[in-house]
Amino acid sequence: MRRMRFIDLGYVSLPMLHAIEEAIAMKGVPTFMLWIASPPTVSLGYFQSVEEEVDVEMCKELGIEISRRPSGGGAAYFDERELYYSIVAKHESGILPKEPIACFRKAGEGLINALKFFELEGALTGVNDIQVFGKKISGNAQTTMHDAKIQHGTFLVDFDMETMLKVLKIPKEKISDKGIKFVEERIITLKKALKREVSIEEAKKALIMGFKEALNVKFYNSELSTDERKIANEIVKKYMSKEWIFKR
Amino acid sequence: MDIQKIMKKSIYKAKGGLIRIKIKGEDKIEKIVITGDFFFYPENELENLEKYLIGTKISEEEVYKSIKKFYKEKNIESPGLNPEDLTKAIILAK
Repeated sequence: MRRMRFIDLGYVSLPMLHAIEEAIAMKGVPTFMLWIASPPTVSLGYFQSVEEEVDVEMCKELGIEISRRPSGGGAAYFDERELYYSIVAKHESGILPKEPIACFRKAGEGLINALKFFELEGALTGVNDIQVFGKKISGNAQTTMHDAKIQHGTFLVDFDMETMLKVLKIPKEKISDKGIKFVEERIITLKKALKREVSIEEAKKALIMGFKEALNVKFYNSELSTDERKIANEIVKKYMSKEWIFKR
Repeated sequence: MDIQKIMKKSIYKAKGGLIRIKIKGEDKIEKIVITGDFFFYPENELENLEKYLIGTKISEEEVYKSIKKFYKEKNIESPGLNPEDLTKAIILAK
């Protein structure tokens, strides 16, 4: 079985996370990372408009950052209650399929395996969501750069629905009902599904196990190289810039 | 004049995500902005599609033909979102 680098990034800001992913894509060491978003941030998909999706004033008031991903997909509210994963692998490594749908399916396998660890049955729905009991428990996105695939997503251990409703403008085309009820009908967390407290550590263990199986690799614990850190510290300027965040 | 105010808009739900269109032009596309929560590969080609569509006659047939051609030339992959969806979204703008 092949070996793959595992990095527990701990708490990381969204711009730095994307800079790290890009640095790894450049250098090419296939890597699986777990991380926690801090400070709280609205993460926009590559093609989304800030003005259409985010209540910018409310974000300022609540001290919530706004960030744009290099990957597509929808706006989401990220904070320390959730756990997140990123996989970065050159196409030539064969770890992730090149074709987008197949790659989402591969990541879906990892998440569904992780849910099995909790004796929950997960299913991939649409292009990029994982559901439990017909409700979303994980959202996923991917992009390609430097001939590498970056695949990342959320694992809802717990979720702050009130804050999400405050900071995101949810289009009425997506809502039949309003407010918290709308969200509760569509989003579920590990805590809710299991009706008990779930620690981030427990969720980490499940994701590591789930992705090890799905990617058919053996993880070895490691850290970013000095070189990767240096590159990321340069790239982060792009992801922090107004031009990038407000480009649409 | 505020360009935002004279732009026609639409929101269209495709399987792969929500498409938001802002468009300027009566007979032909003068300016178009496509945003939304979809996936489109390679990402930077969406801006090029917006440029490519300038001058296209605003009819279902012409818009579809342009988008289809662009997809083929640039090897676009957009899971759950096809040239038909983008065309519909554009035609719906008012």
